[in-house]
Amino acid sequence: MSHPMVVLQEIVKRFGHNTVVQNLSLDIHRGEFLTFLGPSGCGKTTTLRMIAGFEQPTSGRILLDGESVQDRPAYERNVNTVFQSYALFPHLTAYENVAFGLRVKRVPAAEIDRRVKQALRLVQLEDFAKRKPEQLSGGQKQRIAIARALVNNPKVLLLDEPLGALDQKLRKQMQVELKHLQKQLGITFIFVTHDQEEALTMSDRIAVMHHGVLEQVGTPDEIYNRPATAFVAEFIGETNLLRGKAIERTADALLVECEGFRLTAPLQADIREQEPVVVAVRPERISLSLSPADTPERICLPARLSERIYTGAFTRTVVTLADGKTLVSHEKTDELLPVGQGDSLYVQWNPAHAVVLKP
Amino acid sequence: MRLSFAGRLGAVYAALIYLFLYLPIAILILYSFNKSKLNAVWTGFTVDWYLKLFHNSDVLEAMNTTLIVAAVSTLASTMIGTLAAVGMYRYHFRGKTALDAMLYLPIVIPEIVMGISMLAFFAQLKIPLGYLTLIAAHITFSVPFVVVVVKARLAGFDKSIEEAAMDLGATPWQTFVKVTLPVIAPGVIASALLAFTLSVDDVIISFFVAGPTSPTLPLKIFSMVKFGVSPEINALSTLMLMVTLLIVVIAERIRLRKS
Repeated sequence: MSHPMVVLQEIVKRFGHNTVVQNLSLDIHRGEFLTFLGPSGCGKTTTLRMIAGFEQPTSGRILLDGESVQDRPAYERNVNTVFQSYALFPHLTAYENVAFGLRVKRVPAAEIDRRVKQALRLVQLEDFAKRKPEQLSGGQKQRIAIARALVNNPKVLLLDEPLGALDQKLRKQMQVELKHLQKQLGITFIFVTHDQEEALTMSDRIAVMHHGVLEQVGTPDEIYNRPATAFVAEFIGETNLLRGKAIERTADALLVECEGFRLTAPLQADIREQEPVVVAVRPERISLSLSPADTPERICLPARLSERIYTGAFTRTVVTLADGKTLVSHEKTDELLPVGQGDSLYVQWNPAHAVVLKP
Repeated sequence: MRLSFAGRLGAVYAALIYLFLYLPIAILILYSFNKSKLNAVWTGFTVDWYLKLFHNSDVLEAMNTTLIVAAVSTLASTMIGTLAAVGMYRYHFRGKTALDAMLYLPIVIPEIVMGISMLAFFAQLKIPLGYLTLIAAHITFSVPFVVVVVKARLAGFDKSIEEAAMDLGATPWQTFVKVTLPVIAPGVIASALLAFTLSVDDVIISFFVAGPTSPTLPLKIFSMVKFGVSPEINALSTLMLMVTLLIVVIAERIRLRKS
């Protein structure tokens, strides 16, 4: 197998006394769409800037296509960036913006013209070649910024929250377009966002960061359904967290006791007996019923209906357990359980859909 | 609509201020076209004083000195000031705040102090007074103004476009020439024109550092005035005023056009 496109080895980045990236190691594969996801200030943009060459890691190594790029400045790295603010050159036309990278590399004029036109066609803005950035809309500027980066045939395209400034509808459209572009061109994309939905829809793999630490790397499905930490479970989608204690550990499973129920979960290597744990269950995994579950494997707890919030296709239903703890369930709006506020009901879920984590 | 008493008072007050500002200049321009040699009575229209000026070899010599000094000092101070402003904008280092403040200080230092100190400095180094000292002094007092104007232009500058240029393979030098400079060009040109007018107009500092053989135009006027304000001086002053005004208008237009 060929080596990964980007290798981050034990990267540490400090600004003064402030550590923004802590010991980050990650391999990014050829042709992969990898997203760094996390709240603002988690170190995701700094990581991207270190790959681009705008920042130097305090320690650690960065390999690009097998070569160490430590000592290479940004202008000698074969990666290109799409900036959050677009960063188009205001004094140049769209065409000249796209041609910039080829001109500084002294590519022959005829080839520049051919490649710029091809790049403009790729982002469907051939008719806007003569416009100045100020005469372009936000979405068009974004596309020019993408064309300006892609025309150089970079080994890796870095995207720093490129859709942040666009409105919701345009954002969704650009997400699809970017994904198509990436598949069509086969270029490695490294994308940075704080929007978990964006990360889930676009990525092959997601790297979740929090306080400079890489919390989990995995496919969208793994990140969503098998979060490795309580932070990941809470940050991605909505989740219910129930406090409990590990009471028994067998060779491959862990018995956990929470208020009112026990469940067995696949063993997490780093949880020992008697340690506190949290059990995470997604709202769409929790169903409501008038009578207790008839299958003993399902976890079933009595509760009262507290609140229902209509959100469209599903309704967010908040129920209160006997100990006062609230849980959220997503009910299909056309199949609501016929109960009113304060009425008794049962919540139940399949323990296989719960994840046991360290608190 | 009738103005209230306070309103009328305000209008009179404003009129007086503008009168005070511009009436002397208007009279100076008017008398430069006066036939009489005296600045007291109007005896008829003439352009003789202007024609006379262009036959006065001393005045032409001074004009020549002024233009050479202004051109060289403008070029040098614009380059130095622009690089200083870009450097201050781009880099962060220890003592930056102090150095930054010290760049602006010459703007408020009394000119006479600057003039005397430069004279003493040149005397210490045994540099003969002449073109060299004039140009060096003019560069010195113009640089802070260039820095102020270029820095104002840089305040609205998006730093990420420099990163974008380097990201696309441009070396720091290419980035400066192809991106930074074109974007801040209106500020640079405006600052150059400002430096030019400062150099053309300067009297006090030039008085100390100009050699006996190289008076600038303002110094020439100054020495001519010792024998009374003649219409010839009025004409010369009017010409200087027009040139300066023209440059200021051009500078402002360039500055406002692209910002």
